[in-house]
Amino acid sequence: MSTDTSAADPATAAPTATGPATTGPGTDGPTGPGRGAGRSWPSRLLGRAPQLILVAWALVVAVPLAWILMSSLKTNAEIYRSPFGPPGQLRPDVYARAWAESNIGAFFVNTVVVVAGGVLLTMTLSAMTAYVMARYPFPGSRALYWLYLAGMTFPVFLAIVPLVRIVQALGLFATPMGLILVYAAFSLPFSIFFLTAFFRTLPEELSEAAFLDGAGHFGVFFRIMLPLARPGLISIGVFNFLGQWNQFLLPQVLNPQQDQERSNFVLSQGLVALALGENYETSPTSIAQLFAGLIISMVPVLVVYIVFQRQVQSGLTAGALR
Amino acid sequence: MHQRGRWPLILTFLAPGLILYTVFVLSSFAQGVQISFTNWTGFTPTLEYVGLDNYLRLFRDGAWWRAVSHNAVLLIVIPVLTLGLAMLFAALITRGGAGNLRAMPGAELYRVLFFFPQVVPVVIIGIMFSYLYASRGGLLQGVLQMLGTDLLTLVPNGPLGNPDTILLAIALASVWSSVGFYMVLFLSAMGGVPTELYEAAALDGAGRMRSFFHVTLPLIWTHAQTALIYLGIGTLDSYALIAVMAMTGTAGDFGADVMSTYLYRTAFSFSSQFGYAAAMGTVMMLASVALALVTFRLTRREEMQY
Repeated sequence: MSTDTSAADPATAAPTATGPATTGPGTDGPTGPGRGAGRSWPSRLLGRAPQLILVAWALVVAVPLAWILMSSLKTNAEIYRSPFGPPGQLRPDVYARAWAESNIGAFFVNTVVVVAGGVLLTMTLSAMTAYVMARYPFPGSRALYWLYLAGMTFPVFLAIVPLVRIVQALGLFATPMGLILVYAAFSLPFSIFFLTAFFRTLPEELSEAAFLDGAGHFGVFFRIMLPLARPGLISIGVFNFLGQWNQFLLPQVLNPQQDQERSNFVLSQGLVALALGENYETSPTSIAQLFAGLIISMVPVLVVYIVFQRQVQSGLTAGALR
Repeated sequence: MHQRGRWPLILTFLAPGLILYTVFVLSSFAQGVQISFTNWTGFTPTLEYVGLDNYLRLFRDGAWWRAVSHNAVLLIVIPVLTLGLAMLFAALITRGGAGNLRAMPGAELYRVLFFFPQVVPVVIIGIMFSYLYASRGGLLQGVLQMLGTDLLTLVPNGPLGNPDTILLAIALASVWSSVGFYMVLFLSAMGGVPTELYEAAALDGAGRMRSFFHVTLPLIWTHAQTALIYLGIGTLDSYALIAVMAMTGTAGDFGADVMSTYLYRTAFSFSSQFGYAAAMGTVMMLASVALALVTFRLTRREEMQY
């Protein structure tokens, strides 16, 4: 990566503090070395244009998110009065009420269960399959490759109608286990291809040495290859976590409402139901509770994003260049 | 490699994944095609075949063609805006591509911030934008009122309530979420361009603009093509954003139906016309495969050597 050297510039580190009007002199930090000295102001402005455009997009990205965060502490009346005004008082209880009253807590727990199970199953099965595809050439491995490639190419909409029938026939309809199995099944192809490429990059010498020491095929996998593959497993784990946390269509079809409280919903379903029901204004802070729900659902994603910064960007872009 | 005892490992390692994949993915795809030739509604245990009836009906269905045309609009608007902005930001951050020589101050911060929307769940983005666009208390309305005008005079019924603007309003939410992703993709492609080329270009007196258009852009062009196809397939299959943002729709067809939302309602909200919906799914699959074949053709193209 080429941009690692430049840590946060103090001038750009606080893009949200001021409005888009950062054209004032000197707010922008020093730009081109030695350039622009003694030139007329239009050409100096032009020299700053790149930084201004980037700051503008930084605002476009950050302001809506900051606005949701601020509005999650306001009453409906305050939001309607002015979208910019700060909350009249600090209302941390909105979050408590969103968690309990709006049932975000139940949706959150359901999502954690389903995604944890889904990611774990995906990683286990894809690591085993990828290891064989990378290191154990056998007659028919080519056919297997094409089978998994098909699953990556075809749209999920082709499968969605029969999928309901299959999941019902197995007695897994509207259960966490049903979602876990389906999430994992649809996550397999990409994970397998990613990990196969990763296992191929690992050195042969270590496993050869272990074989000479009398280790079996299983022992070599679990004791040598799996620990070596850690970076690849983390990347693909993060990728699947983000993808499965994001799921909406599959739960909508396979996990419909079962009771009054929608206690079986995952977050994406629950938030949409809340947004639809918002028109009834059930409480004076109903919008804030919805916004609090959005923030709560974003927190795990934000944490993973910050902790696994490098893996997120490399893993996700690998998906595009597959 | 050690030949003894290979097969127990191969079989135990492949079988669980393959069983799961066959039961839920492969058999679903196969049955999807099969059901498209029936008039199944989910209530009968057996399938009654009707030949190509569903496909002929689809061909004459005005609502389907409307949905297809909306897909086509999105397929143009979203990639043009997303990739255009992503390329612009990548060029600005690396000052024309020569990032190793002259990286923009704050480059790392922009990279981290711009990429973030890509990992935010789509449903959250949809709900957030619905409130940004709201005529009462929305952020856009607030900005416009500061400028002395009103959202509802500019766009009667609001961006999401107006059939003329709803698609564009949804497309902008999609652009917002993925510009940073494609920017990072272009940045890593630019990182692969050797610095000597920029030094040579600078010696020849080329400025940032010239070295971007004559060195960077030609060298990362294959990446741009791949990004285009990837984004194209994603746009073709997009569902959640439209389902969330168009749910308060103005007309019976929600004003912004695309193939996926029309399929969803045909199967799960109207009268469970599973056979008809499966035909739509099969057509969508054919469209995806066509796009994927284009990808293979493009990526097999001889790459520029450097």
